[in-house]
Amino acid sequence: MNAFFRSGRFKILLAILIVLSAFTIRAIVSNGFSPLVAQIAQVITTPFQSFSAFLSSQVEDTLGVFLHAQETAEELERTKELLREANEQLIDMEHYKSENEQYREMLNIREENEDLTIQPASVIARDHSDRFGSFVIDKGSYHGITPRSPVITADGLVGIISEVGLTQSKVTTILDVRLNIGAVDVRSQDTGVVSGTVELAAQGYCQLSYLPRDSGVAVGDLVRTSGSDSGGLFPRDLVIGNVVEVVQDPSGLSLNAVIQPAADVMEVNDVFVVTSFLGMGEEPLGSGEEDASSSADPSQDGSSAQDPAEGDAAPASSSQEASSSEASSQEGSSASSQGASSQEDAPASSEEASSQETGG
Amino acid sequence: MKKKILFQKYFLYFLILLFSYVIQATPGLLSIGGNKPLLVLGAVVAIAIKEKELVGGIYGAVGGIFCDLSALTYFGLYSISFLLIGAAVGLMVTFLVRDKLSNAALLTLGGMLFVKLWEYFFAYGIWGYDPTGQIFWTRILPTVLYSTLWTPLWYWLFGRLSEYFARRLEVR
Repeated sequence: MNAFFRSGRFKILLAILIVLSAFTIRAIVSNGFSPLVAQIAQVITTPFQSFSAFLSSQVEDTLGVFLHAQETAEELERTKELLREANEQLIDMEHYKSENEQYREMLNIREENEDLTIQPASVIARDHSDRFGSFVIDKGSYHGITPRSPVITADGLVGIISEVGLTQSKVTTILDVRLNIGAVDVRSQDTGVVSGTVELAAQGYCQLSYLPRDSGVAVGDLVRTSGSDSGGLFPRDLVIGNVVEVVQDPSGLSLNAVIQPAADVMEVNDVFVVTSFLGMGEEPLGSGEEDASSSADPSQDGSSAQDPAEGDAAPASSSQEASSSEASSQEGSSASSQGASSQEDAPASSEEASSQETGG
Repeated sequence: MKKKILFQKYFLYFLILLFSYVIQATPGLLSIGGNKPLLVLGAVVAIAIKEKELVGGIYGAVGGIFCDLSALTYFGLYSISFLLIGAAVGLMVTFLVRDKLSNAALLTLGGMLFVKLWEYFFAYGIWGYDPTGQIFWTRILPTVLYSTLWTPLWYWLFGRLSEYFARRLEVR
């Protein structure tokens, strides 16, 4: 054994170990960009991964019709029921929409969220050890992808780009415990933070936390991104999911809502990466203070949005909610046409929303 | 001629590692109850048993680089650990244990436990997520056992390849 440690083989292995350690340290400090060796390896493996993922999805699609016939029939019935309810809501939303248009003219609110730039991508690999549904897409820095870009589908928000290589990028999903997203309940206008938990992630759910104890959040409510966060991670009005359960937080000080994501995070195959939007990377106006206040001013939601032009109040109105709910039942990339921003701080209470929602 | 044969052997090992990584990372493939096997490490251990510490360590680094591509950890952690496992297995087969299937399974099991326990500790254990115990029993341990079940395949494959190329080298 001592002869081995004095041999050239040991020196070769030690040299490789030192090089790999250097790459690891470089990866830690590079804030999301993969080192050169990883990028070269990605260029080699991407074609094989894409082909393998394509084959796997084709086989799954072919066999899935027969294997999941019963589930498909049950899901069809549930979808029909949801469609009936959505049609009823649509009538109400049209009413809210017309009212909101009047409010917009009164407050001189500027149209937003027509500035989203998206890049389509496909899922080519999933981490065998991750419990939160993270995956790898076939787009990287060569295609204009940057770290911390939101990832969406036609149905809603999926996650965020956590690491970028030359031809591949890794996505952390909304089920992950490390991702916190500022969110707001569309109906009650209560704000909170959406994040994952280990327990809920196993069921494909996430959690809306820090809701006030007197929150009006109820089962079936639609939850979207609020658009105010530190660093401008998410645009406003991206659909996150629907509330399936409301429980009290173990501390007893707030409520938590269990969210079923609108996008099928664990099975998604094609996504869109939002490469730019209005307010991306910017700090929100009055972040933390206005969010925490309980003012009944309806324009406050708008002013917390990331609007670079001072004095412009971004809309937090029900027409956006109508747009969101319409878009959720239609093709989705247009659903992200309303701005949204993520929120790291404690949410505001819903008093201003309730007074306005009652009126709207 | 000898160099050509060696190049063919080591390139074939590289392709097998690449193939095992692609299969391992493909969504929905080989998944049982949400658990997928870590095929690359099984292949690395088999290579280390047949080719000893230097080749085992180098292919451990290569296989680890592949695993780092899709893992949500910092790049280099899998490659470093796989290099150490490959080198350690090669040395153990040289000085301590015999080259046979039962030892290969034990070495694979040991390597898997080392990687998955380290991953469990740094990804879940130290952060205090609740319930991490459920993750260990329903994800970590089944993945270790599922991955170890592939040992006979890798042991047989790399054993045959090693013998084949050894005969070719002797014949020339």
